[in-house]
Amino acid sequence: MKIWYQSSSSYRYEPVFDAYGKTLEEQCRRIVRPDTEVHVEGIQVMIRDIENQKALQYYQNIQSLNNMLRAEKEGYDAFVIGCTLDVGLEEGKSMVNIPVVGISESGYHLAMMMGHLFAVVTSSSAFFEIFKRQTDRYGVSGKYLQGPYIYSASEDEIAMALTNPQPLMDKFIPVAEKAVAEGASVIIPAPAFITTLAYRAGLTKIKDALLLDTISVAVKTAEMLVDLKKIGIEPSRCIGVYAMPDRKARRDAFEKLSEVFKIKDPG
Amino acid sequence: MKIWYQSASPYRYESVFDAYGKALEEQCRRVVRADTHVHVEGTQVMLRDIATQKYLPYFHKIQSLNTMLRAEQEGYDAFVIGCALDIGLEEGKSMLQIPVVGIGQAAYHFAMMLGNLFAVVTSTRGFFEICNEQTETYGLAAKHLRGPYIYPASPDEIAAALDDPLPLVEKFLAVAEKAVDDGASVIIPVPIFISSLFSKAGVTTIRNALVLDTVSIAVKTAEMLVDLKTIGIEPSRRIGVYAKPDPATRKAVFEKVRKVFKIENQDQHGLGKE
Repeated sequence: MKIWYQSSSSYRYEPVFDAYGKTLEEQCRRIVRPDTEVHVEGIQVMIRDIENQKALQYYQNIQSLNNMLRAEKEGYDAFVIGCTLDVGLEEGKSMVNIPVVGISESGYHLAMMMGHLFAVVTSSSAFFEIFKRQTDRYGVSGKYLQGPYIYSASEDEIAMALTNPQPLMDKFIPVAEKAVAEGASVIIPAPAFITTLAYRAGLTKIKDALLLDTISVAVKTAEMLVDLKKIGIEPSRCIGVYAMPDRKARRDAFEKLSEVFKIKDPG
Repeated sequence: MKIWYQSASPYRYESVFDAYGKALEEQCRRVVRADTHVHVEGTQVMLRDIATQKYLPYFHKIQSLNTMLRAEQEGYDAFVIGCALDIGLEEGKSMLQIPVVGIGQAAYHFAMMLGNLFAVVTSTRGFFEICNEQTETYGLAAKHLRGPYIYPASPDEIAAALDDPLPLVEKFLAVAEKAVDDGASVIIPVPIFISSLFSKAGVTTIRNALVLDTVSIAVKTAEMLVDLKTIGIEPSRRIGVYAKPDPATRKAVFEKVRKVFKIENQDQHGLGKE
C-alpha cells in the first residue's frame, strides 16, 4: 500500500525543512504496516501566517489539490492532508477516487473514542477559531472543550523549535495542563508540527491525559480506509457531498478552468 | 493479532445460530489482515426484545463484561462489542487494558467521515430511541438524520431471515430508500444481523448511498486501535471516564461485589493480573 502524506511545510523544496520532513517520515514509518509505504511531500510555496488570512488559504490550497491529482495518477492508495486546516479535504473527497484523510477530522473522531472531552491546544487565536469552526462543521463539537487553549507562539518561534524545541514545549505544556485541569482527557496539539515535537520527545501524556499523535492516527486511518474500500466501503460517488464526476467530465471541467486556474496535470 | 468479536446472538450456544456465526466469521476474515485472527463468540442467554425493555440491557450486560474479562485473560488484543446497543462499552473501556470497540460508536464515526448525513435504519421504535440516545451521548447527533426510519420486524421475522432473507430485506430497502431521499448518504443497518445479510449478498449501496458494513468497520477499528496502542495512543487510565482501577482494587471490588453479582470464574480470569 502506498500513502501520500501531504505536509504543509516546504519539505523537499526548502532544505531548512529536511530534518522535519525526515522526522515525519520516521513518525509515519514506525506505525504503519511493513508493506505500507508513506511518501511525505511538502508544498512548493509555503505562505506564512496562513491561518490568519482566509484569502491566502484559498490561494495556497491549489497545491494540495494538485498533489492529490498527482498522487492518484502515480498510483497512491490514499492521500493524507497533514495540515491541521484540513486544506482541500472536502474537495479531495469528491475529486479523487482514493481515500482522502484530514489530519484534524480523523484526530477528532479518534479523540472521541479515547476520552470524554478533547481540547485543541494551539498557537494562535486564528487557529483556535479555525478549529472551533471545524468541529462545528464536522459535527463533533459535542465533545469539544473549546477553551480557548492558546500558547502564543510566532511562526519564527515555531520554526526555531526544529533545532531547539524546549522553549516552545515550555509554552505548550502549561496550556495543555490547563485544558486537562478543566476536563479534557485527550489533547490535540496544533499545528501538526507540535505533534512531531512531542513524538521526538517521546511525550504521549500531559498530566495523565492522552496527547494525541494525530499524524499516526491519520496514516492509520488512511490504511484502514484503503482496506475498507476493497470491500466497497467508501463515500458514495453518485450522491451527496462526495459525489464524483466521471473522469471525462473532470478533465473537461479542468480544461475549461485552465484558462483561469493553474491546474497541474489534470489527468 | 487476536480480536474477540462478541455477537449478541447465542452463536456457539444454540445451534440454530451456527450459520449466522460462521457468516460473521467470514465477514470479519475477509477484511482483516492475514495475521489477524478474529474469534466470534455468542451470548449464552439471548434476551428477545432487549431493545424495547429498558431494564433488560442492564441484566444482559454482565455476560458481555464477563466475556471481556475472559478475552483479556486469554490474551486477546482487542474486544469488539458486536451488538448495536454497544452493551458494556463504557464499562469495558474503563475495566480492560485492551481496546474495546463498540460497533455502534465505530460506525457513527466512520459514517461521518464517509458522508455528510447518516441515518440508522432499524426494526423497532426501541432501537430507534436507543440509537438517538447513543448519538447524543457520543456527541455525534449533528450528522444523524433521525427519521425515524423503522422497518417493523419482529424477532421472529428477523430469525426467519436466517433461512429466507428476502421478505426482511424488502422491508428494509423501502425504508432505507426513504432515508436516502431525505438526505442520508450513509445508511447504518440495525440490528447487526442486517449488516451481515447485506454483506453476504454483496450489497454495499442503496440508491447510491453507502450501506455501512458495520461489522467490518468495527473489526478494522479494533485492528487500528491495537496498532496505535503500541505507540501509547490509548485512553487515559488515570483520569476521566476510562480511568482504570489498579488490579488489586479491581480484584477487591469484584470479591465484594460477588456477594450480590454473579461474576463468572473470577479467579480463573486472573482478576488480580494486569
